[in-house]
Amino acid sequence: VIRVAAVGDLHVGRDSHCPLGTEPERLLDDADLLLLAGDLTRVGTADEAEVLAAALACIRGFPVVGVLGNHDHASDAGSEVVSTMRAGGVVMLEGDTTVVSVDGVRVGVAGTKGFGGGFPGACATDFGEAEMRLFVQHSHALADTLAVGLGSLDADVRIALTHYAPIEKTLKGERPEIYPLLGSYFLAEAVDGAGAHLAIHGHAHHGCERGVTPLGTPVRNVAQPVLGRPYGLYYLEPEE
Amino acid sequence: MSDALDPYIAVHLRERLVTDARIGEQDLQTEIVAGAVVITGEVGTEERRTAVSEVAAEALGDRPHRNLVTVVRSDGAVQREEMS
Repeated sequence: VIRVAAVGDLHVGRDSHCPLGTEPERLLDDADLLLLAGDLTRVGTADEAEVLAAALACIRGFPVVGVLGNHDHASDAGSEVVSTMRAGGVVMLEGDTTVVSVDGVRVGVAGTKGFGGGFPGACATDFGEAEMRLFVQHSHALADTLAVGLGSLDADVRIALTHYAPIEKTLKGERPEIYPLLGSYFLAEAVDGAGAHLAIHGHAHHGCERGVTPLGTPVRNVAQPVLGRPYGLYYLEPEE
Repeated sequence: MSDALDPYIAVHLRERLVTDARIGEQDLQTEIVAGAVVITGEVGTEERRTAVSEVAAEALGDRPHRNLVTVVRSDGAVQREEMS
């Protein structure tokens, strides 16, 4: 069994206390790896990332994999957030992949922030004003990196890690009017195209935890306001 | 102009709350209820919740407001889920 801990939307700032709960060392007993589903910081500065990296120092060496969220871009310093987290031992994915070995089982993670655009029946299209086309093209481009990443993974278990949501189901609780700002079906297509075993996302604070892609991949919204606990913990059975 | 006739006061306050350097949180809503601006939503820390009141007072002056914002809880028990 592979034990995956996951949480997103920590929104860590200089004023944050115990972003991973009061006993982060418990991760070492609970899980085999930790996934961070974006919005690591409040407004995307290196000093905020340093607070989170410091909170993770007590589990240094434990596999932690993350992606950025929209908040991490709020100061146009996403690259500084990434480098600070990497210096703290976190594998930060930006359209690329990593493989964690757990007792000989290869757990592959493909990660991207992802972006919005909406879902079938109510989605933006690559048409019209340049700004709208850029919006959709950006979403497409990030989903494409997820598809390529998942498809390239040589792993026993494949996990998609994003900030934005791949499906509508885990947005239930949010106002439907803002669904196009919360995710895109492009991400679900990437997950289903590769037959991933699990998709993890955040971003939707008022959504719900559990959903599934059209072709059956479980999706979990791990935004901390949704979980109400330090992290979600998902047990995956590798295929024989 | 009374608050009831000034629907933009609430949306302008929300914009200011989200973008203020002391707060920087998007999960905030504002609406006018019985002549007062009511602010709801969740923020990550008690400090940010306090800052919501400060920014609202700065923005609204003498106009009444109520800060009903709460701090995100993450102290629930860890639960494991078997996926297969």
